[in-house]
Amino acid sequence: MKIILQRIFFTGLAALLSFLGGCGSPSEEHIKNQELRVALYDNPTNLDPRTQSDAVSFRVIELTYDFLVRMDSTGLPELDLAEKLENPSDAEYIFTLRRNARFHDGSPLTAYDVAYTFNSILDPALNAPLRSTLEIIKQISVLDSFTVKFDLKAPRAPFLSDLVVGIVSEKAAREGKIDLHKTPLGSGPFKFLRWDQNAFIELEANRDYWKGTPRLNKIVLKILPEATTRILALENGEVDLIVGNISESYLPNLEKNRRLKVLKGEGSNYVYLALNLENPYLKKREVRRAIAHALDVEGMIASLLSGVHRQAGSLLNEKNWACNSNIKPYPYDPALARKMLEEAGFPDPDGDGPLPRFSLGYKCTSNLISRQKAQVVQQYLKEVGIDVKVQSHEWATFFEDVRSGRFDLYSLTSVGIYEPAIYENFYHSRSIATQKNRVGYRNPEMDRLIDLARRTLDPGQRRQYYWRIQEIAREDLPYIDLWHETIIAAMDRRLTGFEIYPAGEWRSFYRMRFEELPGD
Amino acid sequence: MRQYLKRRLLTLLPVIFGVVTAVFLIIHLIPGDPAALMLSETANPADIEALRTRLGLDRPLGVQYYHFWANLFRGNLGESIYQRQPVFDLVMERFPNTALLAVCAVLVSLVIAFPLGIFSALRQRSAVDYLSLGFSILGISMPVFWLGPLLILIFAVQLHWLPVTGMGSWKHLVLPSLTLGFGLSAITIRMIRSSMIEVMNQDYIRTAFAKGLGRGRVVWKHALKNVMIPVITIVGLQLGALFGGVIITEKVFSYPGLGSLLITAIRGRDYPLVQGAILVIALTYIGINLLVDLLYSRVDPKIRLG
Repeated sequence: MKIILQRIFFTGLAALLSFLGGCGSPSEEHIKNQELRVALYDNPTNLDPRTQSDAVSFRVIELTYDFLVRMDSTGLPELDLAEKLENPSDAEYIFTLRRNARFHDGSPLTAYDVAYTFNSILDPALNAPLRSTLEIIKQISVLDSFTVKFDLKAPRAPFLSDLVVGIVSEKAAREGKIDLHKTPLGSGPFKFLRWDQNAFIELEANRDYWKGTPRLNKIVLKILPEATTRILALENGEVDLIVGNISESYLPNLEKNRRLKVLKGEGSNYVYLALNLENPYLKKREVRRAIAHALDVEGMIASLLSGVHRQAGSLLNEKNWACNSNIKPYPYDPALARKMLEEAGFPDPDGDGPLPRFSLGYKCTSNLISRQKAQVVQQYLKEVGIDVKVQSHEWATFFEDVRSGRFDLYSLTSVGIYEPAIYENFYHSRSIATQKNRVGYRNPEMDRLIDLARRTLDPGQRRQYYWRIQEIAREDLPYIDLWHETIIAAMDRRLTGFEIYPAGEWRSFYRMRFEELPGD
Repeated sequence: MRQYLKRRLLTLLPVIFGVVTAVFLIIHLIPGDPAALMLSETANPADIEALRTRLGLDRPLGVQYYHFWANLFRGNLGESIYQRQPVFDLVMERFPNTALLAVCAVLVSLVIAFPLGIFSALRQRSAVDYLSLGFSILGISMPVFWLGPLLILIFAVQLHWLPVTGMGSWKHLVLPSLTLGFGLSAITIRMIRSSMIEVMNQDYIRTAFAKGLGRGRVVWKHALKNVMIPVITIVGLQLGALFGGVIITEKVFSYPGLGSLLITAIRGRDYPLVQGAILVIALTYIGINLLVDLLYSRVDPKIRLG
């Protein structure tokens, strides 16, 4: 019996060693086949460009659909599917389309598809998130097969940025044979192959793409929600590219890895601290300015984020065409902060003792960085005599509180900022009722400037308005600018052609390919 | 046996009613509006309200509750708010993955626990006994979110023996099963050890030795069956719990199971999906418990059901 057991044991051990001996470095076949594997940080929910509302879904849509208009890296619109734009008046836009764009089923992309896409967004039955933004459209007319006209109810300067929507096939949408939520049918550089729910999405190159055949043959988007797992998968060669959502703490290891390269680019995501102006303390401008002086934002970036991001002086990042580069952030000066609080009528009741001048509540999400940020702000404000109670909640509860105004302080990131018209959401008094101006900020001069900037089509004049808007924002300070996020991408060093765009878009994917490097 | 089964199936009804009602109330009463979460952060209240109406969320809770039961009696678990697909299809897509992982994890735990538990019972206060004690303590102390990445680092990244993540082959199951199985085995080892010690001290075992039977035969033929009852109980409970409790492992390994589906649904307040997934998990747990009870009568003829 003992001998039999011994024989079984050694046979099994030999089999195990044979198997393990066969394992080794990950396969490189995909490199030769120009197949790119990208890590996605979440599962897309909806691949219909008209109704999607999350960033992950938009990444897939970017690869499979085309857009009438895109935004360049400075936030200015550039034509994409449209090759010509005419403005007979400030409220009329005539787009002439390229004639060689085709959907992945071979049918041509025409003005009828463009008109259908936007008309369906305006249909209340579709419940499209963009409907309220596009309600400025009075009528969409097809002038001929490749010419479409938009008539607006009134001039709207940011209108072109509102049109960044993937164009769907009217025929496919009306026939209903495929579900556009799950099966994209666009005209973009990559065709949808399949979606293994919560595991991966597979795309292949669109050989008839009007900009030229993509240099990659296939893209596999692997759904890897756990940050550590994404990094380990990259290091193990199971994915070739991660864009964004890379914790700064992983950077040293990634940069040391000779198989990989790390690229960084100036992003437009804006991180801010919101101050509820309904709060009796925060409604005083001097208190808000004192809080700004009490925060060492550069120190926060250095300690929490490895110094990767850039301190913000404004909602718009430094590359944006409307950014006022004369605006500087409030300098860190706790002594000045204490003085300002005294002068505002909030003396420290016991000098250096434990009693605070007053207390504030800070709501944050349960995300690690969010909590760490809250704790750091709490510590800085404690040093100037403001007691901050941090309450962390999971996202849905947090968002409900923030929308309903149940906060004193909160911090969030506004993503993908290109168009300065976003100031309307943050600063216009009209946006209080729509729960976008959650701090309750009111300033008639600001309202006037924002309305003017929205109606004025002249870029030079608009820039002047936005410069003044940024000056007032800095004076009144209902939001304290923290930082603009730097986008980090880590990839196999043989991957070429990748470019970082400020909102993290994947526009360069159709130019990317694997190339053997000298010395390999 | 038939009577027993009929009785057990009848007790199913109040359990399902309780689970469904509790989940319905909790998920609807916690803060968070699914319509607001679905639309962009800057959506207008009017658009949010329109979506709430389209999804039927503006109806009184009682009406929503009634409709849920009405659909349930028709075998319809509803449609996911986010994914706009039948909840049943979404849950069944993930159920086999979780079932596979749970079964593999339990098998791994038994492969570890049985030899260690039996040998440490037969060789008390020996090196094997102390080893198994240490192993148990380690297994209980090492959380999944630590052990999982550690195993990935060693076996995937450093040695390239196994993949980091994904599905599709048995290799993808090894690390998640080991991660879970290691923790489960900790409790099972101790259960087997103490059960074995108790059985080996019984009179009939002494009689068997007195009759001249070999140690191996006494252990495998006479003692082991009596050790199985408490082990079956523990394993049954663990298996049932795994269906709702492998969320962290699924996250670490990006394993597409029920746990990660449920977490995403809760975060997004996808009410139908939360209700449907929890109902399936509850039914599975009840089914496993029933199976465990039926197994008792097989293992120990003295136990009669009915």
